[in-house]
Amino acid sequence: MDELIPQFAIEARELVQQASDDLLSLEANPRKRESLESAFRAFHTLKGSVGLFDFGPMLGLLHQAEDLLSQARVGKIVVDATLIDPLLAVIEWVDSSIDGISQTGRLSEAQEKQAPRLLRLLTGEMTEPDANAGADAPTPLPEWASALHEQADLVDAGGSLIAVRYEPHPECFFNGDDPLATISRLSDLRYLAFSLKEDPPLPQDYDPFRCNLLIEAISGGSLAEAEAVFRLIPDQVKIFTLPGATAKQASAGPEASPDRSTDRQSTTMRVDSARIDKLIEIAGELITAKNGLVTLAEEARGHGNDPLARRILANHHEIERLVASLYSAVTQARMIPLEHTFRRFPRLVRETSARLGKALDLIIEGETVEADREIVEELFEPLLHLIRNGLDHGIEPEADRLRQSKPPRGRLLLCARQRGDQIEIEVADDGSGMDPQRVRAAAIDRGLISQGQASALSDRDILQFVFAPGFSTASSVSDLSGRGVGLDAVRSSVKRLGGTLELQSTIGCGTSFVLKLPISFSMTQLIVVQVGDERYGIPISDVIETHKLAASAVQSIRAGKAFVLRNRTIPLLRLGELLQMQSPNSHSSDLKVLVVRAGEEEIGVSVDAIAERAETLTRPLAGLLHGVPGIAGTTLLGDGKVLLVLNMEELVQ
Amino acid sequence: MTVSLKTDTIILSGTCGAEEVETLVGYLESLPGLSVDLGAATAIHTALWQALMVFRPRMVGASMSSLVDNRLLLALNAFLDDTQEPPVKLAESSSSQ
Amino acid sequence: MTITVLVVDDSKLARIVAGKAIAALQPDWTRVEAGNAVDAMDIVGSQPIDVAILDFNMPDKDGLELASELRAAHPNMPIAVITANVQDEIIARVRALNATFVAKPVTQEALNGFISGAALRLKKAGA
Repeated sequence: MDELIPQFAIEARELVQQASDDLLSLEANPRKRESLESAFRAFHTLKGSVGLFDFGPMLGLLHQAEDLLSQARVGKIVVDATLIDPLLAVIEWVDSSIDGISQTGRLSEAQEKQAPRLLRLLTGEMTEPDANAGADAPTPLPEWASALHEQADLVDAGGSLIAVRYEPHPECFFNGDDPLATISRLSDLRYLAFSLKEDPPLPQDYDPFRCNLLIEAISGGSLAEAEAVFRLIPDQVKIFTLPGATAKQASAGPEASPDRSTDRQSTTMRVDSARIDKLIEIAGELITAKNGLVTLAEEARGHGNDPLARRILANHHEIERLVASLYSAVTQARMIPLEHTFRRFPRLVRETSARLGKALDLIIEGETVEADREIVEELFEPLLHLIRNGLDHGIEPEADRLRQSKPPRGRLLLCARQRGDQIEIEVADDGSGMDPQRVRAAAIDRGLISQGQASALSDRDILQFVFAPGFSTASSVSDLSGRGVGLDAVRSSVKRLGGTLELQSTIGCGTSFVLKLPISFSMTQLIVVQVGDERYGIPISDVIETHKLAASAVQSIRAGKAFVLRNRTIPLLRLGELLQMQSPNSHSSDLKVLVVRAGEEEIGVSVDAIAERAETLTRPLAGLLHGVPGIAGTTLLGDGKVLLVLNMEELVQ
Repeated sequence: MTVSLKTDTIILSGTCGAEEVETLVGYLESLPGLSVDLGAATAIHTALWQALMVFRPRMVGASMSSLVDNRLLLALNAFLDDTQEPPVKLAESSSSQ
Repeated sequence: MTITVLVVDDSKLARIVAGKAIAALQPDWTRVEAGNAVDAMDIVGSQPIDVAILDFNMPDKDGLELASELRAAHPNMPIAVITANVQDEIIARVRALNATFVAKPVTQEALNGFISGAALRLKKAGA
């Protein structure tokens, strides 16, 4: 396959995202000039990239789409739904083509078949502008500048653009000017052309010392810079900021929060995340290495050289401090704003709500909250699921809403907050909510609980059954606000990310899911426990409490053991057995027990000793250990030993 | 000498200032059909670029590896491509002299 | 034909710096100096001057006024006005006199464009 395809896929996804953001922003505000310009650039760039390959009708479609935007820019057609809808349809189509393209290197037949329909949409009737409109039309481009912009046909025209038209004075050579050298000083020269102002003269009239040139250029640099280059010859040059750039400058104020992403892009660079991981790894090794100094200091003290020992220790402290800040800096490098995932939802919601015929507003808050890249990316699927569920089954059709005196438009809230080293994401709808009675009935139906248990549980507890595996497969559930569908899968993917998923619902008022996730994998609070001669790490988040238990308190129940904690009987397992270790049966003294959460249950796990707590970086497993159930990852301890971090829930199952 | 003649090629080398344009034009006028080799030039003054636009000699050695700012070379080629008609009655008239 | 360049600046140091730059660029040129506009006009009246390099910031009569008097008498003389004070208004006035604006400090590089252009014009006029 073409080696360029992976890069194409990366860029195309970004451009698709950009274009759809811009189109949605135009839909909300058709006069937003910078969105129009930005959408145009996204389509234009996308077309340029597609042109490098043979993706059948895709190039033609994008060309047509770009052409429409170009007409909208010059006011030949109006920005309204008849323009935006077909363009969004094209973008959605491109989006859904990318996966296939990145796998096979070409456009799938299924996708290709849709192209004629899209082309018809694009060539449909567009709205002509009202001749009376245009009271606050943007500053018109001088003709030369728009002609130049057109002619330049820039493939990648991101950022601000400066058009320059330079007619050197005929005598300028005598002033020591070198016009072509001058224009070459413009930074980021995207386009350069020069021509003779007058036709080539007859030999007797040709004066090699008279400058007869017209020079035109487009630069990606700033207006100030262009003005500086031509500062000494302002009479010979026209400089104009091309639209889009002006708009961006205008929106650079603090109130322009929706455009933060554009600003941010200018100061970010793409780094292979593997490189950052490598840095984190090295930083982790440094932590280990620096502890060698402590041993060295003890050795020095052993030789009776206390001053040297003190100096080594002082050094150790300094290095420790530096390593810690290096560590947090590289961890920080993996952080990206949630926006990367959140921004994909408006289009999807729009699409789904149009399909379902439900009018609703998606409210997104807190998209600037940052978290580890992997967490942000992995959140897409679970969030999508929750949002789709809310749309599909939570929010009622308009007529129903009106009958209940609710606002006709539904509300879907996607909101993120940072709470200490966690992020909290809420997905809430103001729809019909879940009926605990029906969940209770369904749970009994599915044999998940007995009638007796069911009636003993509170409504709130009973709702938790929608997360139970198997609950979702029940056919009767789909009319139960359909809440069961796939929720167990959502919860397990959130869990995989080290998070929790909670649910609250009130009949008639709506449903709210709250996801709590670590900001980053990088630092995990571990409890280090000892079994035999081995030490293991257990994430503190898995542990509800720790107990000392007299050996006599352990009761035998059937084949297993259990103990009573606050009037509840809790099964007791031995970690050594769970890990299939040969360990001496030395249970004479007190037992150290961790109470861990496993699904809805609490289980006691006994260990030989509970050592220290440690804040460490847990690496996802690679190589041999990958996929071994019960093991979450590895981490390096300060003494250089590798510690296995256990996944208690998997282990006890 | 930054503008020099070697058999049937005019060679521009090093920094070619505006004052060199007369030499260049002298060659182009008196010996039509000469090629111009920009390969060794590091900087070429606008006056010389303009002469090349007027006389349209065949360019050799001015590949992408040229030391001269490539953007200028590309723009010159674009100009020459866009203005198809043989521009210089100069070359014709001087050959008929 | 020897070319004579007149350097007008109230600062002796500035004249030396400019002189050195000119000498490096055009070793054959003859340099004459004046410390103010009145002396400069005297020199122009008493001997042929081909090129003038004038400091903008001088007591009594500034470089621009001097430039406009010189221009009136010598329509084709290459004239440079030098200043550390790069203001668009001054630039525009320099340009209006068909003179060249040169920013201080007067290095060889800064003066190169003007000197080579002047040489070109003089050569052309002399040819």
